[in-house]
Amino acid sequence: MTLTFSPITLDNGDDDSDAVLALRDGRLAAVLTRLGSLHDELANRWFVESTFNSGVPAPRQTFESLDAFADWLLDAHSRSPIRSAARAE
Amino acid sequence: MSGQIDAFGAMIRKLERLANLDEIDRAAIEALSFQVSTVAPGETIVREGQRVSQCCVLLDGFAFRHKVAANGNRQILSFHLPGDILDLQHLFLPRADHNVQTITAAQVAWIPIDALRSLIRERPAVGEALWQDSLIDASIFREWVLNVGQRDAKSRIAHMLCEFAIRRAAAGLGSPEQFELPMTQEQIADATGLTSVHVNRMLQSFGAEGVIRRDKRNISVANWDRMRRVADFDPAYLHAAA
Repeated sequence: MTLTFSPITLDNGDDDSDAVLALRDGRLAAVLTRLGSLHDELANRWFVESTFNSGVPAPRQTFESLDAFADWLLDAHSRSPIRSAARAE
Repeated sequence: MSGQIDAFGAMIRKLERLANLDEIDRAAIEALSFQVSTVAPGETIVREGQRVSQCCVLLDGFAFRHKVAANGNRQILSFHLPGDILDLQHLFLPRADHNVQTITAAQVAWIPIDALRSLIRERPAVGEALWQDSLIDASIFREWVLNVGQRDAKSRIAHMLCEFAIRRAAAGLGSPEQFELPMTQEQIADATGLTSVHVNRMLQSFGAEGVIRRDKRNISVANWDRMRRVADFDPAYLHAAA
């Protein structure tokens, strides 16, 4: 799995517009925002706004770095029932 | 038990809003046997699956009902205030189908189910009030399904705030326009199907738009009409609980 991050700005009108598109083997896997100062102790952490694989729902946790998110995504895909079903076929 | 009248005061005032209770009805409620326990914040009072022989009344503090999905995510189903009976369904359903947990430190009174059943048989007006209480609970659950399923993030949180403010005022806990929120942002998130990040964003946005003023958990509603519009809030579903 190759994961790349492409910076993007969200049109959300608030402090959390600094974002990245997470591309897994060239496909859009998730959108993450870097949390702004209004989030106090969570400021600067990465929050997953959305994921696009129904077997990998967006986590409630936030991530200290994009590397930490990549580790989580790899693990989530390995545990995804949808991926397991595809393998079984 | 001494102090009984005070113990059930909030519950009796609530039931009096639901049905015409006379002096004998009130005396019969006050004569119910019960045991009081003090519960720490975050403690589970009733656990899903357990067999129950007592109903619990919240005397002081705040609590919520919740269920947990197989993936570990929690859905909060309702918030509760002093005077609420937290598990009235156990009068006739012996096994708990959800959890009840405190938000703050709380005091609860445990009433034997047999005693409550006898009370209902002997005092029909009390039975009517408890029926209404249960039906209003169901109406609130229906509104929460609509809230979580069909409203956007901002409306969901505004609706939860409106409901809490109105119910709190009806319970005699003070003005609906100024109150302390007992629940955490994580608990609000679990009640509205959001994350605490979303909840924080929405609360900040209400502040920036002048709908509320907020100092940590102290909320002051600066523009009640605007908040009600944002929330799509019509208190009719609360019936006599509002």
